[in-house]
Amino acid sequence: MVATNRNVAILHDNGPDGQVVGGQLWPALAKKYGFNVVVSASFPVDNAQFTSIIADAKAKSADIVLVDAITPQAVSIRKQIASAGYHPKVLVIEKGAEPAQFGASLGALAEGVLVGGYWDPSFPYAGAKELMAAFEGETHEPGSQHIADSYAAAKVLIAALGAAGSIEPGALNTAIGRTDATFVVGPVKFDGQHFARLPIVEVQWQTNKTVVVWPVRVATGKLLFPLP
Amino acid sequence: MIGPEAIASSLIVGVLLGGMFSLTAVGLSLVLGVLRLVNLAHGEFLVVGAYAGFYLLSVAGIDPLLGLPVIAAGLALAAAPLYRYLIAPLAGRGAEAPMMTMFGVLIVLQNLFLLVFHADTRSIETSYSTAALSLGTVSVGRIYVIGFVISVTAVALIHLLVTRTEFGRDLRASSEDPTAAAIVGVNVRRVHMLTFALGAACAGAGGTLSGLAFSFTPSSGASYLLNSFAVVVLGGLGSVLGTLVAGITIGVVQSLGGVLLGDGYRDAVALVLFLVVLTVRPPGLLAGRR
Repeated sequence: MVATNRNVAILHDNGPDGQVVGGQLWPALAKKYGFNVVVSASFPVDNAQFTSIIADAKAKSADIVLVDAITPQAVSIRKQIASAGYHPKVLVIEKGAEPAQFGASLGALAEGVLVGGYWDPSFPYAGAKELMAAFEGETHEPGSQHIADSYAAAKVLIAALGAAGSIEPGALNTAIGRTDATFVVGPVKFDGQHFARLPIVEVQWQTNKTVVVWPVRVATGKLLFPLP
Repeated sequence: MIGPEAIASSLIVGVLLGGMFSLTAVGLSLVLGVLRLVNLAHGEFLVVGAYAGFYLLSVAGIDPLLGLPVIAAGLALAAAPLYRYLIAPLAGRGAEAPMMTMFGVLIVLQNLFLLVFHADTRSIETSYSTAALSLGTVSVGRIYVIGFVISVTAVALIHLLVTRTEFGRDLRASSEDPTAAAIVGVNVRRVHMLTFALGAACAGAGGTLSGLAFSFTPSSGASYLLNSFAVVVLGGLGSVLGTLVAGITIGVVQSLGGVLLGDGYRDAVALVLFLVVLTVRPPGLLAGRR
C-alpha cells in the first residue's frame, strides 16, 4: 500500500442503490482500508448541478472520486469536474458509466473512468463473444455489459421451462431455483437467499470502449493511471 | 466545512448559471405575460434546442454557438404554425384549453424525442464546453461564462425590442388590453404569433447552451420548465428585466443552498424562495417593469 492518494470524495444519489453503495458500503470500505473520506455528499437522483460538491472535493484535494449516479447525472458530473479545473487521479462512476451511451455522450472525457463490470465478451464462457457480435450485428449499436443480463435471464428461464416440463408457476419456480449451469454471465446457482453470485470485474473507458483492468488475470487492457 | 475557495467558485457559478436561466425563462415569461398562455411545452422547446445543437455539431460539424441564430430561427419558424393552427383557434375560450393543448404538444414532443433520438443521455461536447477558466485559486467553467454573456446579451436585446420598437409597443399594448389594442389598429393575433415564436426562439437558444453545459435526455424538459417557472414568477409575468434579475437571484440562491446544505438542496432552497416571494410579493420582484 502506498502512502499517497488517500483522500476520497464520495458523491452518491439518494436512490436505494446510491444510499447503500455510496452512503454505507464505500465509507465503511474506505475506513477499513485506511482512506480518508474528505467529502461525502448525497443528492436527488435527478439533480443537475454539482458545482458546490465538486468545488469542495477539489479544495480538499481528494485524489479519488467515487460517484454513484445514473447516466444523465454521471455525464453532468464528469463535465462539471472538468469545467471546474479539477483533476482527481482516480474517478469511479458506478451505474452511470456502465452503458455505451456514457462514452458516446462524453467522447474523450470518458477516458480513464472506472466502473464495475458484470460481464464482458472476453469472459471465458460459451457464447460470450458470439453474443456481443450478434448484438452489434443485428442492432448496429455498440454493445455493453448490460446485454448479457437479460439474455442470461431468458436462457435461465428457458432451461427451467424445459426442466419443469410445465408452465405451472410453482413447478417453474422450483426449476428456476434448482438452476445449476453455466451461461454467458458465468455459473448460475441460487443460494438460500435466492442469489446467484456472478463474477465481477473492474472496467475502464479507454478510447471510447470499456476494457477489463481488474483482476489482472482476466484483464484485457492495462490500467490507465492517473485519470487523463 | 466547505472552504472559502469552494464558496467563491460556487457563488460565481451561481451568477453565471443564473444568467443562463434568464434566457431559458424569458420566452416563457413573454408568452405568459402577453398571451396569458401557460406554455407547458416550453421545456420541450428547450430540449429541441439541445438536440438541434447536438446534431448540428455531430452531423454537420457546425459549432453550436455559431449555429445558435439558425437554431433560434428554426424554433421560431416551427412555433409560428403551432400558434396559428393550435392556439389561435382557441382564443376567447378561456385559459384552460390552450394550456391543455400545450400539454398535448408536450406529450407528443416527448414521445417524438424517444422515437427519433431514443432514451439515451446526450451532451454537446466541444473544446470549450468542459474547459476551465481560472482566476487565482477559483475556477469556473468557460461554458458558464460564454452562456452568461450570450444570455444576458440576448435578454438585453429583447428588452430593447420590447421597450424601443414599434413591435414592442404593439406587444405591450396587446399585453395590457388586447381589445383596446385591436381597436386602435394593432394586429393582436400577429403580435401573439410573433411573441410565441420569439419565446420558442429563446427556448431553443437556451436549450443549446444547457446542452453544452449539462447532459440532456428526452425527458429533460420537465426540470427546465420547473426552473423557468420559478424564474418567471420571481421576476414578474412578462417582465424581461425582472426575468434577468430573477434568474441571477435563483442561480445565486441555489448556489448558496448548495454551499450551506449540499447540492441536493439547491432546488429546494430556490423553491422556498419562490414560495416566499409568492407570499410577500405575488406579482414578482420587478412586476410592471419591462
